Amino acid sequence: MNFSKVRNIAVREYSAAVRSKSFLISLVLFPILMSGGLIAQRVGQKIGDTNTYRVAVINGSGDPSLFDVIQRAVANHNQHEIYDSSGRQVRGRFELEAAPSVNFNDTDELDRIRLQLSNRVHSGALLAFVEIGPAVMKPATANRDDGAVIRYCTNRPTYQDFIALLRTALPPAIVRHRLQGAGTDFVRLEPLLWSPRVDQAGLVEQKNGKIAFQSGAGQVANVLVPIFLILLMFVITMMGTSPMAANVIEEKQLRIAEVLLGSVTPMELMMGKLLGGVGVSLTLAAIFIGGAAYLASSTGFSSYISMQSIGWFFFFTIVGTFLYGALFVASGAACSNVKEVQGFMMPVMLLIALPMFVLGPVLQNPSGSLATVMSFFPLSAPMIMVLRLTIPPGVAAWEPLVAAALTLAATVACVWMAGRIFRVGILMQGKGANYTAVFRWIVRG
Amino acid sequence: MRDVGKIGERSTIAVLPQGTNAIELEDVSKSFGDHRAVEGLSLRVPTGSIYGFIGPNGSGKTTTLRMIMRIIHADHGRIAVLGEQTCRAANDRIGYLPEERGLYRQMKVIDLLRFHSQLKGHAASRDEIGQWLARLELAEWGDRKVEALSKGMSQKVQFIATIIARPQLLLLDEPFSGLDPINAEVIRRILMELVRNGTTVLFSTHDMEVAQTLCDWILMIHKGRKVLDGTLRQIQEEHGRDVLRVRLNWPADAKANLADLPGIAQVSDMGNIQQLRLAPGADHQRVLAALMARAAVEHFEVAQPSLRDIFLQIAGGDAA
Repeated sequence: MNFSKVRNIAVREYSAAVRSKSFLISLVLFPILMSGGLIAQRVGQKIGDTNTYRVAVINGSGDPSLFDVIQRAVANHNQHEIYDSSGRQVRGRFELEAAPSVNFNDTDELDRIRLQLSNRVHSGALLAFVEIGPAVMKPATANRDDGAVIRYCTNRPTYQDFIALLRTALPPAIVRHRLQGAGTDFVRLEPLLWSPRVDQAGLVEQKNGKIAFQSGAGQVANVLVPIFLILLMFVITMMGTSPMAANVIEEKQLRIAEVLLGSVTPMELMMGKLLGGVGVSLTLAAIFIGGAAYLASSTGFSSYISMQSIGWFFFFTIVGTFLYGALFVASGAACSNVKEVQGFMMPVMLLIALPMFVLGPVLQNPSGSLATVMSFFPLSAPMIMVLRLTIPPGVAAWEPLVAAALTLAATVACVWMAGRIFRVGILMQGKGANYTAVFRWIVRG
Repeated sequence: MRDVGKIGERSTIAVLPQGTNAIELEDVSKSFGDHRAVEGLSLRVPTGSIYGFIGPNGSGKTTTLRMIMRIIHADHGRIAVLGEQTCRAANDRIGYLPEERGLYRQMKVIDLLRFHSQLKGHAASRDEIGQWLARLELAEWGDRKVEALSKGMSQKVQFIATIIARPQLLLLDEPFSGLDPINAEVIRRILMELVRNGTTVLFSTHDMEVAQTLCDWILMIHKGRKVLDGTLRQIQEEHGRDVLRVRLNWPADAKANLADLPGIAQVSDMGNIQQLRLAPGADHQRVLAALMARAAVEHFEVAQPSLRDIFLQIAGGDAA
């Protein structure tokens, strides 16, 4: 192989890619999408919520003071929790109304009132209605029925402010009322009733060598950093490789391929394309990782990602770009138009996107069987191994080495197979090949 | 090898010694599935010659050129190019212009030409590229993108990309197709200049007139097999002096028909001139006498068959 020619092809591919509008758009779009949630939250805070939400309460407990408990919580909310530091209203105000009293044994009447309130919820007159069951004040029994439940009924389940208020205020009040009802000296008992809080905590080593508990923000960073890295790797490898299939098809359709093959071998052409893609991926990685590192250091979060993890990130980015790029290039060579390649690539795309599908379970248990297997499976290893490396406590030292070896071996095999497909397919015109034909090209060359 | 004269104002080309062959093919065959594209083709292209490669569509010309370039591999036979038999060893010394032209549309012309020269291991300077562009009347287009060029301009850029690395051997598949006569003449002159400086040219064409006027040697393949190979004179002599060109003035009451004339195998109406092919063993003096008996003979010429005649004779109905 003539490496000078490979370099010339790679430089042209890289230059064409980074000058394209889609590259520049992606460069701007990715940070916006990644920080989209934060921006939306900030914008939401700026805009604020000046609405007043009305909630009806069906109190079946027989204890009218429960309504008063909610009323007091609402008043506290409206007075203290809906304004920002400048005194501007940023959260919704609540209004409470008591629903007509009803005997919970009269199910027809209960259903009539429920329907009435439900219609008001649907019409927007009510945010929700709360139904306090008749048995909530009774001591617990082995067979609790529906009566011991507090129901919050709304058609806006994502709006959590009122149910959070309800959860904070009502259950402790009910417990207090029960104890008082049982004749307990509640004033003496109350200090004994507090439940210790269970906090998740991590340890960090400070600059003076002492160990301290990690802050809440640090714990969030422990989860966000791996998610950021895996999404970043997915985006940059896709940006570096997915245009390759369309480029190869364009070269076939515009008859550029044969002109190039007068000067370079199919393998040199393909390797040049792959190296160009690696260049694009590394450029993006350098820009985004550099930006993230700057942000992290300026906000004191630089300790949440190690240089070792960054090193592995770049390694797996390079290998992943070669691996996925070979699949895209081979697909482009086997097909004759973009529509064909979309169908042809679907199974491969599903495999490449596999880490995205298992992100949740892997984050929940990064040392579990699924995470371990996926971090050694070559098509998902680049992303999942980086994910596992960056979630504390990380992985054993041998694991990334084995994953790297397996992925490298698979990459070499994929590039070899892609080369066999490429050299046959690149000059083919007309109808694209099917999987059987492609398999034959690989076997026979 | 030795250095020979300049092209333009710049570098020289190292060429093989005269008397050697730039291309040698021996018993080369290539099939695609059941279709036999080239069969038992042997060929020797002398260094410094212009070799015309003719044949009807689908006769195997492009396949042969691709095999010489090692873009595809022969199933059987031996191919040596510029003294190299190993795969692609000589490609940097060959300029290849495929039949289907292809250029990166988003690249600037000057960048594209530099890219193609680099792929051949030749770092063409901006001045060198500018000279070529000026010569082909594209000087103002160097900094424009290829997509802004007309079809003719694109073809000229493609031609420059083929020759910019000073190749020892040029393989050109239909180099003149789509060019207007003025640009075709510019390219013809450049080709002649390259040949004078030692470059060997093998080109395929459908234009028999171009092949006849430009080529030292002509090869024709038909259905994958070689059917003609030699200089134009050799080929014409092989096909004999059996063509008559006549112009007749027919009497008003006579029927202008020559097909029943004794000793005539084929009549071709060329407008003012009728071209007659003699039947084997026929005597042109007898034919002249028979013609004079029918009409006033204004022009009578015993001619050698043109390349077009020979082509049509061989390819028959398959000819393009």
